[in-house]
Amino acid sequence: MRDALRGLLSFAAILLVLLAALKLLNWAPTVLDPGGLREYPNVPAVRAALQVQDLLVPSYFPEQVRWPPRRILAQSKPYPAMAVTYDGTHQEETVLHTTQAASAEFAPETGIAPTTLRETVPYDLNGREAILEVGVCSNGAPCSRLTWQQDRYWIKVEMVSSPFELIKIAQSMRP
Amino acid sequence: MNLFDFLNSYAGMYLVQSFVHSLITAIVVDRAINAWRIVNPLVIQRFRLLVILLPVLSFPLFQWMHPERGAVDFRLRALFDSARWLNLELFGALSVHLLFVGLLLIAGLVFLVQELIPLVRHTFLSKRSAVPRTPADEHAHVARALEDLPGEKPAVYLMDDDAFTVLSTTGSDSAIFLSTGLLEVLSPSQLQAAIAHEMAHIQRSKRPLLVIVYLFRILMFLNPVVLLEFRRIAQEEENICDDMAVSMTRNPRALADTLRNVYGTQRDPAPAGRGKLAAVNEALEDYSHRLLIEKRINRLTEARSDGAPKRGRLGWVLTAAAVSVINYFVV
Repeated sequence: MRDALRGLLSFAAILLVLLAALKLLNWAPTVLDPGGLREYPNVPAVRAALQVQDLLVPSYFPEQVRWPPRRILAQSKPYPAMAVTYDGTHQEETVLHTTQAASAEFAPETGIAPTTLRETVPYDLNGREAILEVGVCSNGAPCSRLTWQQDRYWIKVEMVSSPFELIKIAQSMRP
Repeated sequence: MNLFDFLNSYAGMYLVQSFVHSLITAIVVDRAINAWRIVNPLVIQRFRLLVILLPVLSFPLFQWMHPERGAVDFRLRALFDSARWLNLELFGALSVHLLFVGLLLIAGLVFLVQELIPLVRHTFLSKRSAVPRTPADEHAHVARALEDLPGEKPAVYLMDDDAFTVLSTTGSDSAIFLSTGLLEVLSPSQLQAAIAHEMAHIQRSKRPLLVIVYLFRILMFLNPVVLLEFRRIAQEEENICDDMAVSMTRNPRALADTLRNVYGTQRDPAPAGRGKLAAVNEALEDYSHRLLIEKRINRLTEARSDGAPKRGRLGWVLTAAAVSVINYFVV
């Protein structure tokens, strides 16, 4: 019995050491190379840290969207990318999400993507070809998405609302 | 598709994660064997099989459970995200993902050269030219050794060869082969121990689990951790067969003496004209082989073959569960 207990404690200690080592190994690359994906407090911090100046930020926000954003994720390697999540003014839930990446592969989970599409139409966004999708989120709320390519980036804006506010936000996006 | 995109595809993630999962499993299993103080080779082998079996299944199972495991959000919350290391460039030029792919290719090459090609060649040659053999039943020592051993008796053949050779073939036509040179140096009890050890191999080869493990090992042919662990499993198989032989003969010293006689003799010098590198390689292989044989002899003479398999079951379940949970959060 004593041997079994000693074995159990020893095994638990091994697991704790392993977990700590994995945490350390997961953190080490962020020191060795700050260009990896991580969270930033604001957009100027992203521009300064990653030396990427052409990041688009909306200048128009409807009343229902809270400023500042809840989360900003960004990376410069293997390709520049930024994902910004905004909560609602009166709720702790994502209502707006913008993604800008130099690869179509970058697709963070937003939780507000239309799960049932009702309409997909081409849209002229400041002279660029965009795709507007209107549908319903997984919770049944109306949501919409606008995607387009600008210079080297794939840009995606998703919002829990009708497309009118979404288009205004997308039109206001500037470096 | 470039290399980086490939590593982010389903097949690439499978390669990367099965490597990391097998590395974590190997570390935990190794430490668990110490923590639970397991000495029984059968239980040790059962633990080591986790390193081969779990990483083959873990990635597809985890992806099925949570298809968004590869997505940014899961990676940010993960215990360890391999992509962080694979994206790194050491000293501004050396890509870690290139080093990683190089490591996998070396493991694949070792598998090809040291395992697959010799196996295919052996199968091909044994089909083309049957080994000249004569039934050994009439040899007094062999007949006596077989008579005293319990269980189903395989066919035993003699090969006219001065080298000290004892081996067995498995499958439907399983048999034991002894060289005439070996018959001359082994005492009756040592001969019995050698035959008992080969009988153990034949009995063990009928277990479907070992066949499944070998198939899984082939699937993971690019994984260097699996390559090393499979060799350790093969070494443990020798210990298991030693224990089975001792349980048949009740004479561990005879088996230890047999090992000394068969493997303790001088090897033929390397043929002239062989490269320096090949000679070093051969010397290293010879040295490591001798170390393993010494370990087996010490184990037999120190009578450490009796373990406590009961405790191993709880430890095995805990180890498998801990490794599975940790690996779920390693992407």
